[in-house]
Amino acid sequence: MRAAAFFIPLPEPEALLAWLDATYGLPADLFAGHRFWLRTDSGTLWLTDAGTVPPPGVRLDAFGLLAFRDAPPRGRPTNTFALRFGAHATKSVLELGVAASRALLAGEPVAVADATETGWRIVRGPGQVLGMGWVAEGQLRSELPRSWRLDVDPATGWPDA
Amino acid sequence: MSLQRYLDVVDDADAFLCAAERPLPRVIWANPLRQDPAKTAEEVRRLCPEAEPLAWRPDAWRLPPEVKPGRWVPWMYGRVHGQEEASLLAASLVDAQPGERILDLCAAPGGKTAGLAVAMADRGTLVANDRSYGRLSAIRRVLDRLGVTCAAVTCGNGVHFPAYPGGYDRILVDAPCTCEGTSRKPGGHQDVTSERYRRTIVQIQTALLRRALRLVRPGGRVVYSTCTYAPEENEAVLEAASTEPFTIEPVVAPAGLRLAPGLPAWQGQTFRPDVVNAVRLWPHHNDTGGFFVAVLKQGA
Ligand SMILES: C[S@@+](CC[C@H](N)C(=O)[O-])C[C@H]1O[C@@H](n2cnc3c(N)ncnc32)[C@H](O)[C@@H]1O
Repeated sequence: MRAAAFFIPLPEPEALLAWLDATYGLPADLFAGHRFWLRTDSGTLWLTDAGTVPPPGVRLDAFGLLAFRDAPPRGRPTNTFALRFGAHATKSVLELGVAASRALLAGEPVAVADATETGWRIVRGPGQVLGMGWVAEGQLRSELPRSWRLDVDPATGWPDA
Repeated sequence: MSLQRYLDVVDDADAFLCAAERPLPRVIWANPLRQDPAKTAEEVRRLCPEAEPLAWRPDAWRLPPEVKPGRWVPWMYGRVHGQEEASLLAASLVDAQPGERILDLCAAPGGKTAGLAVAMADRGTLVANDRSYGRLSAIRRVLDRLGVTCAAVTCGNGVHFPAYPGGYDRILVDAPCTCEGTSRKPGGHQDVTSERYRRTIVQIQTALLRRALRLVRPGGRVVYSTCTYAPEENEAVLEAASTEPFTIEPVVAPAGLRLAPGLPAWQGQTFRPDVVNAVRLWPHHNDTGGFFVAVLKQGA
């Protein structure tokens, strides 16, 4: 067993919290009960409950929720992060209706003519966060791993209108 | 089939053998970390009107075997999770509380880990360990899907698992076993168990339980469970682990579940008197898989 030397509390979490507020409108107090960690060998950022303590003397494969593969501003939040907190976002959000939500889960292209600015979005469907998406040239590309939606029947998400 | 060896200790041999062959009903439960369970209940009723809430867990539903909840959008987004009813009981007997420090010593693929995290309201420290590195990704997938933040996933041999200063509040030892109780699952146990394999696994089970009794804080709870009927892997393991001080606590049967007491003796060996406080789930009693659970309190 290897020692758990990889995860340290994120130095200067204020910068990350300010970025989340500025980019997605996620206020810092939303994370008051949580703590961000840096995995030093990979540079990934993780989020745990504020009371979560790493167990000593054993190799950690994961510690809480993987929030960023790359630190911002270069990296975007992971889908897991978006699903947990995206309902509170007020900026860089894209709202889809039932038909577009189903199309997204089916892996089809979704036209979003009125979303003009290129960049990452937290994508929401009726009543739920759908994940991260990339908007460019009037098209939305889902950032969900294919494996997540491989078996899913998109019709089961919402009742037919 | 190897289940013949239990016909002397089961109440209704025919019902037992029949039930062991039938497909297992699926059980799903609402994940409150993702959505208000009342809303999830509406979704479940819409997608499967035949879904039947469990008497002892109104936020969990029994589904007909042919229903595939794994294809539902609510599943994909972690609003529901699936677990066999017997396994759900084992996890709930840990009685995990928010803010505690809990160790799931043999956690992959993470079915019970998920239930523990939710019982903790995602607060505190949940260590999900497994010896098999290849099986850790399954635990991570479950925790990601359900949106859990309070868990650490670790890879280690549970027999030598390092201590946590002050000890764990609760530990689940869902031990590797011969899986005789899984005959109702696709790909579950079908063959005759090799007695040689059983002897090896009993050594591991005993060592895991002894270690857990040392890692738990004084007076803390250890839950020992297997998905097998064999007293060798259950009552006899509790007996062998008695080099460490503990008592076996009585289990109150939840509404609608019938639990059989642990066996005081098996094939000439008699066990410590409190093994009758352990419980066995026979498949024909509750239409579940086969399971054994004992709730231990550390200390003399
Ligand atoms: C019955 S399964 C656990 C099922 C799991 N608790 C669940 O509910 O999904 C037993 C697990 O024990 C693991 N295992 C076997 N020997 C072990 C050991 N010495 N230490 C830790 N884990 C071990 C196996 O890799 C296997 O994943």
